[in-house]
Amino acid sequence: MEIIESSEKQREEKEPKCRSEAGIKAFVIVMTGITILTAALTSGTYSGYDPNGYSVAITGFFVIVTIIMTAVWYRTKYNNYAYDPHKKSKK
Amino acid sequence: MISVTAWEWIGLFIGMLIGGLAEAWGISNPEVLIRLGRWKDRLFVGCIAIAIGAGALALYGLAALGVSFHWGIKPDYVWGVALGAAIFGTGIAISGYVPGTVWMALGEGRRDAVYAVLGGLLGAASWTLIYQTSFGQWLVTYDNFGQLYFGGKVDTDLYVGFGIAVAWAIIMFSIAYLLPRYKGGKSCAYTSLHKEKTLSPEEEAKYVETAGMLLEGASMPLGKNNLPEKVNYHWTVSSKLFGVVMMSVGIIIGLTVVLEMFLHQIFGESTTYSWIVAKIWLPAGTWKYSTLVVHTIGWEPFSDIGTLFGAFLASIFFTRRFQSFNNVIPPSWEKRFGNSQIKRAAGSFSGAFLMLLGARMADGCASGHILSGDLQMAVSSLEFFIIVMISLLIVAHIIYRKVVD
Repeated sequence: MEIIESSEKQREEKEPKCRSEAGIKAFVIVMTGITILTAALTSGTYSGYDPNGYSVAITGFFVIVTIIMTAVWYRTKYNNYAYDPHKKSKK
Repeated sequence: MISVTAWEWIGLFIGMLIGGLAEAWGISNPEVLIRLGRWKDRLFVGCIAIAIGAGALALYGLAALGVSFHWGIKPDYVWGVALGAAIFGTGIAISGYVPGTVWMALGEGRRDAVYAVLGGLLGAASWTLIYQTSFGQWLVTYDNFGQLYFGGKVDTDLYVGFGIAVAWAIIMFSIAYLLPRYKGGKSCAYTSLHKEKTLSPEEEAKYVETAGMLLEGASMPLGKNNLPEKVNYHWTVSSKLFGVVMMSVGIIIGLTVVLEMFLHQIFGESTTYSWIVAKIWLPAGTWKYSTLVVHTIGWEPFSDIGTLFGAFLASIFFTRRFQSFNNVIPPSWEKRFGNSQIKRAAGSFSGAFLMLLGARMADGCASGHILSGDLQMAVSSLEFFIIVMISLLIVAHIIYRKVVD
């Protein structure tokens, strides 16, 4: 396992330090609840094969907003960091 | 007879489970399917084989005991399925995506998935237009033998079906057991017979390279000595498809598909593209295919949103591969076509266009035909899977043969 362990160490040297992500994770969890609630309230007990387009649209909209907000948050938090396995370590 | 019909929004949870597990496998990364086409990494074949084997046993075992299912077996219109499968395989080789992994990749924050969604919608719209023509009707009616499984007509002779399912599961598990995941690597059969053997330096290098490929573009640090590190460097890169983690994920996915059928809903990922087209562009009532889709799709739009959201949640909490739409190009594509974003966007768009056109023509995709259909032992789905693999291998060989790893 030497190669794997040394690779993990090299990666740790390349990446920025982990910072608190409690805020964004709370946001994601709340949005997960809102998304499920939205789908449940707008679709109700319907169990047929012809779904309500508006119900799907509003549910999907909340998911897309969540993903975009999360992307903006991570880009801001880690200064546009993107892991590059071929980049040399900082040290 | 036990019979349950689920509310549509419950599909969100089923989609989240499948999307999350598949993201952890890594198949939302287009490089994984491109490497399958290059026959370098057969993860997809092994994992799907485990899911099909486990699911077929559960499905036909329960059906023989009197449990009621919503069978989603696709009709076998031989030429339409064959042509659709050939186009579908070509689209995968170009884009690295199947319809479900496009949703997962979007959830993982992959930039090229945005172009793939647009290409996929155009592909689905194209089939809605073609379906209206005499050629489209010929494709779906000529040599159409209806809904057949290996034991005869759908939902008949279920005891015979269970016997065939046992043999089918043995074949599927054998594929996963005997097929080495990595080119030049060792199969599960070999490693289980050589328990004293530790990973060779070459195998470790393969694990590290695969982990690097899966993590490339991640917009957050992985951290150390934590669950995501274990997931990325040990579990998802492992060649032991019969190991506890890989096997469990395959079995859970197979049983989840069976659960969907028990809940009398539809398992699929590509019909939603046609449904969106019907809602925003080619309305039901005017277009025959749109009319067909909007009245039969069931909870699939919800389960597709769940697939997208499940992959997103997994990439934040479990694998830490969320990319925040960073500029990432699959390594095989980059070695072949360079690092141009425009070229990759064009490849992603056009590949997804072909992939969705083929999927709708054949009436199913990797989910509806290859996973769900082959799990139900559908004749049309076996035909689809074989032709997709042949097409994928040939086209990927033509495109990437000059790529040196």
